[in-house]
Amino acid sequence: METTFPPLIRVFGDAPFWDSIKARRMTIQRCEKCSRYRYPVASLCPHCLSTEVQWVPVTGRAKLFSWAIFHRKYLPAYPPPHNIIVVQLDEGPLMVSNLVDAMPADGCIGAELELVYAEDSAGSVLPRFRLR
Amino acid sequence: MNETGMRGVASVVGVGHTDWAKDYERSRQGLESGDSYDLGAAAFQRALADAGLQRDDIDGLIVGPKTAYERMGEVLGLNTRWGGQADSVQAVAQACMAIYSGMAEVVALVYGYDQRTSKVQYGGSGTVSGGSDHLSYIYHSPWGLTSQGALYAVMFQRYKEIYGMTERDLGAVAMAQRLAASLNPNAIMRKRVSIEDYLAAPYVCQPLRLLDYCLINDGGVCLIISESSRAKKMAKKPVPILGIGRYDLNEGATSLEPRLVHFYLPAQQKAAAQVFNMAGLGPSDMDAIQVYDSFSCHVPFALEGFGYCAEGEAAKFMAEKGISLEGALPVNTGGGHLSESYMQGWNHQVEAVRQLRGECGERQVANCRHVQYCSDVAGKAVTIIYGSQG
Ligand SMILES: [Zn+2]
Repeated sequence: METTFPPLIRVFGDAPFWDSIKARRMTIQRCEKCSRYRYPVASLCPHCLSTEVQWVPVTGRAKLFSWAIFHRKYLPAYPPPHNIIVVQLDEGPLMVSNLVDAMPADGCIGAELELVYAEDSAGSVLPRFRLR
Repeated sequence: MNETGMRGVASVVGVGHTDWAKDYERSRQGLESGDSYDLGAAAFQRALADAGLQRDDIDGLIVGPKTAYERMGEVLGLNTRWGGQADSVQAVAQACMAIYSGMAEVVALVYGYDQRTSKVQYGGSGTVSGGSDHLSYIYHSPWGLTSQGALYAVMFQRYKEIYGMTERDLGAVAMAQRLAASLNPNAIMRKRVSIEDYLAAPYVCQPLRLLDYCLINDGGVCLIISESSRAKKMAKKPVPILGIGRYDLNEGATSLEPRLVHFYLPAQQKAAAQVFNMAGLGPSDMDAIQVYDSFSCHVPFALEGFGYCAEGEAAKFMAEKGISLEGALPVNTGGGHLSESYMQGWNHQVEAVRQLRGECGERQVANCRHVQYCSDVAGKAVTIIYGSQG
């Protein structure tokens, strides 16, 4: 079975994001002017249009916002059943990820989560979450 | 601003489409029915005949997203004074605006897509190659989210847990649309389903099951839209376009905020206010609605967003009022994308027109005077009201 993750989707300006994940200390952008966090990367703040930005490490705490489970195989790396979750980071942004060590089930939205890092055989690292 | 200005200015005068069910059978046997241009051209010929028009009466052309404008014009031998490319609902809007502004008088809207024969993949490895053309669609592929179905699965799961709707409640959509399709000779999936059938269908992306998903089939659709005074002289009873509304939620789109935080509700409400204002009508005036249904859960979201029931009460509405041809508000009266044909919203326009002409035989909604089309695709809420008189 193939164990490497699907390729990362790189967009302009996101190197600090993926580098920080590789270093297991995930950072996201925070607007210098209005202090709002944003994800994915963007060159200006959608709230105040400021281009002043800081990269700030996240606390790693999040809440489960929604989830789904694939029962068909779409990708070699993810045989079914494969879960995807949407989490709300304590910092505010929503992020798509996976739940590890458990499968989501009805009623679990709102559950407290913590960030973990998963590494594939090729050394690619993804942020994932587990129940706290 | 004159918000009612476009009311009734343009009318649908001709509709045509390929034989979806026959072509579906052919593609299952590995036989081709033509490429996207051939399919669009076949639909165009039928729409012209339906309207009683000649090719040279057409002075505007809008093609669907899967075909190149210039090439479709070449295939149809159409030289035009106005044209463009758009999805179904925006094609109708653009045709109306072109006619309203005097840029065109009789516009052909032509859609063809050979998605089954050409093995179009919705989700999977084909969508993870990168590039930034469709960021919100591919961005999450490292975690395995690559399909539109998964986007609606997470949306419906959150809705379920907040409002208490059950999967059994959602089954009402698949059942209602299959009932409609069973009475529609053009539909691909005509066998009625029970709630037991629905619940026994396998999950594709939980909480959505196979029967919550649209078909994937080849086909073509054409609408001909004319300036309304000229429309009165054509072969069939014209179907005037009484209103159009649109509102887009783009902010936070990649991180799925419009769908997960808002369920698209603010966009639908603003689009609804615009369309009802333009038409001078409200939800209680609608005899049927057509809802863009790549997945069944579009229907409860639309019922709430476009004002047919209160927020969080779609399950109650579907159970108590009913959304089938036997209910108070028939929805997707031809079977929609789930059961009739997946023509990316184009077949819904045809069904609205035929209901208002009274051409729908066994599935005809009695005394049908107004039909609303509602779509919410990728944050864009767009809606049209069709009438039976100008
Ligand atoms: Zn800001």
